Amino acid sequence: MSNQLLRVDALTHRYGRERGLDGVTFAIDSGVGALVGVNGAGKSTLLRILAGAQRPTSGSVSLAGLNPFGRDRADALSRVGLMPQTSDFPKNLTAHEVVASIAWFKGVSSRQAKTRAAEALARVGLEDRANSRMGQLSGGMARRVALAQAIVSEPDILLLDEPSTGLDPEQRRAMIALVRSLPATVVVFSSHVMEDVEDVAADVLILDAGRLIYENSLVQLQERGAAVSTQSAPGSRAEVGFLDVLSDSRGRARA
Amino acid sequence: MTVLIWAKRGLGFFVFTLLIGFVLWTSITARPWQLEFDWAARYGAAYVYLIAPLLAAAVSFDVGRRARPEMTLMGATARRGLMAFMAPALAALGWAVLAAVGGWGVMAAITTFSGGLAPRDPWIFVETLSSLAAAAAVGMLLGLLVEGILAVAVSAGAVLVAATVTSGHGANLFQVATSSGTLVGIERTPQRAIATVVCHLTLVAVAAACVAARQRAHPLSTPWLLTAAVAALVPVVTAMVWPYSASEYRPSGELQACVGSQVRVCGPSSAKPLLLMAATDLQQATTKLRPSGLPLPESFAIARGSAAERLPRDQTLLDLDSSQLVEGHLPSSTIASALATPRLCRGFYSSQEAPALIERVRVVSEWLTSAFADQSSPGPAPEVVVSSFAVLSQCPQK
Repeated sequence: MSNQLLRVDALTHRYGRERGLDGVTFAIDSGVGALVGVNGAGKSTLLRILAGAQRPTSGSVSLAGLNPFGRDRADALSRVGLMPQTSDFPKNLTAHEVVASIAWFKGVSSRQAKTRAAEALARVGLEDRANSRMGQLSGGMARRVALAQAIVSEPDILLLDEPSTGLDPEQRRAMIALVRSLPATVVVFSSHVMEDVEDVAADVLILDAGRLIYENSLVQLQERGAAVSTQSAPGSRAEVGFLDVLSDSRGRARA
Repeated sequence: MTVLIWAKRGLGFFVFTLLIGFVLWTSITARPWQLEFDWAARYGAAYVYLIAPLLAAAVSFDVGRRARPEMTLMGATARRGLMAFMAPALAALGWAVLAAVGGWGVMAAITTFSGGLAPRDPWIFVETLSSLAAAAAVGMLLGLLVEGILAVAVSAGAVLVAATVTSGHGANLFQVATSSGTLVGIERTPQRAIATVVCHLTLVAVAAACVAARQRAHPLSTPWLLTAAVAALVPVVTAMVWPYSASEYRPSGELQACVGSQVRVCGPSSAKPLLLMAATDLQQATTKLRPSGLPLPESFAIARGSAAERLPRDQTLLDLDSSQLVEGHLPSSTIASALATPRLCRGFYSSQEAPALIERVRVVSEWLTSAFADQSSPGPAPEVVVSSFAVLSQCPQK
């Protein structure tokens, strides 16, 4: 357990009386994991907690053995990068300024932040738009800036919240290619798009109404999905939905 | 680094432009204060009342409309996350401070080249900077708490209302005690300045604490936050209701200095350059008027308020401020007025006696003024002048 880079134990989070997450437990030591679930399943909440942005009601999070809500918060936060679901960064700042600012927030020195921001933007293919203001960038470019700021501090754990949301098919393919090339040890990304999951993830986590209902390899899920879709076995709403979609997706791919 | 970025991209430069424009306009168009830095700075500080709401609005726009919402989230995932909000506020504040300092620099240059008095009042700097800091803090907090463009109007309105409501009380929020006249012989009442500064700093601290509490990366428990807020507000409330009988300014407790040989002029030691100019002109005047036979006063003192009433019998009150000095010289009317009023007669404060005494002053003053204007040496003073001057010299002092 100690070598697991990302570990979550009995994580519960409530919004007033509403339960956002309910006893979520899982661990990832390396590779890309897909976080799947319908809207409101708790994906974004989970990612925000993992990034240290939101304190859970109960349970624990360990990032490389560090507690992001404890004394070693500063060290823990420097190990994780978050790409938010939206890219509503200050429109008056340039892409380079946004990425460099966030690198500096993360604890990188001013000089290094500027260098790393340029490198991160180059990595996502935006080196020639680094000095463009955010308000002048297209939606796809803004998503790439969001990815650049997530990787700028060179984190071990990268959390991507719906990275391909709002992108056209070509942009989505480019984004997935980027995700596959990322240097982080652990990548957790949430998505609605099954092709993205199949293209990138080795492991899948399925959330349903805040509960983790599936944690295993994609291959096993695909096999199980085929069985479910042919036998119509009873299951939870999200699992069946996901498996159906997965099955459909595979069918379309074959066709 | 982020502060510099926001300094380049935020609305702070807009505030700077307005502020520096106001200061330059003031310094170029109205310069009665050119021989006195403190007067200049107090006179110019009127801009704080106008700039503070604009500064709060600019900060709330940068924080509320630009830094949110993504920077909020990213700030919460970083060790320096608070800077996501503080950087725009600090950048705008930096511009405002730069403009204020630039304004003081212009005033210092003008007073220095004019041979005027150096800065002596430290409160003007503290009051101005704390006012600007408090305005930026309010803008930051409201930019974070109030949704949308409304934050801009709410911030500006809150600062303007606070400045207006507290005006004239113990602590004047978001404004600085100004002066349209000389500060030679008077000084800022420290208790009132302290009350104002304490209020401003408390506002800054409360705003910073609330922003930190709002940031989920640095959560504060509700009881702790409430306790801290109450503890922070106590000095504010205390300062606001401080039972002040003291006015904004009080007679200076500064050491007195006297300059000149035959004619001596005494006053605050920091005003020595002005005292010397006055002493030189008064000596020339009394030398020229010696043939008049009038026993003209030879010892003068600059004093304000109650200090003027406590002057010894052999000292004549010199009502002098730096604006009366034209190219380093007192106009003849001021000299004549000083020489024609050798004592602060009690009768000046009596409705029955004052008209007659004032008429005597006029008679003496007019003759002295014409004597100055005459190129030749004046002869003995007419009898009416001699008798009027005798009454003014021997009247019971207040």
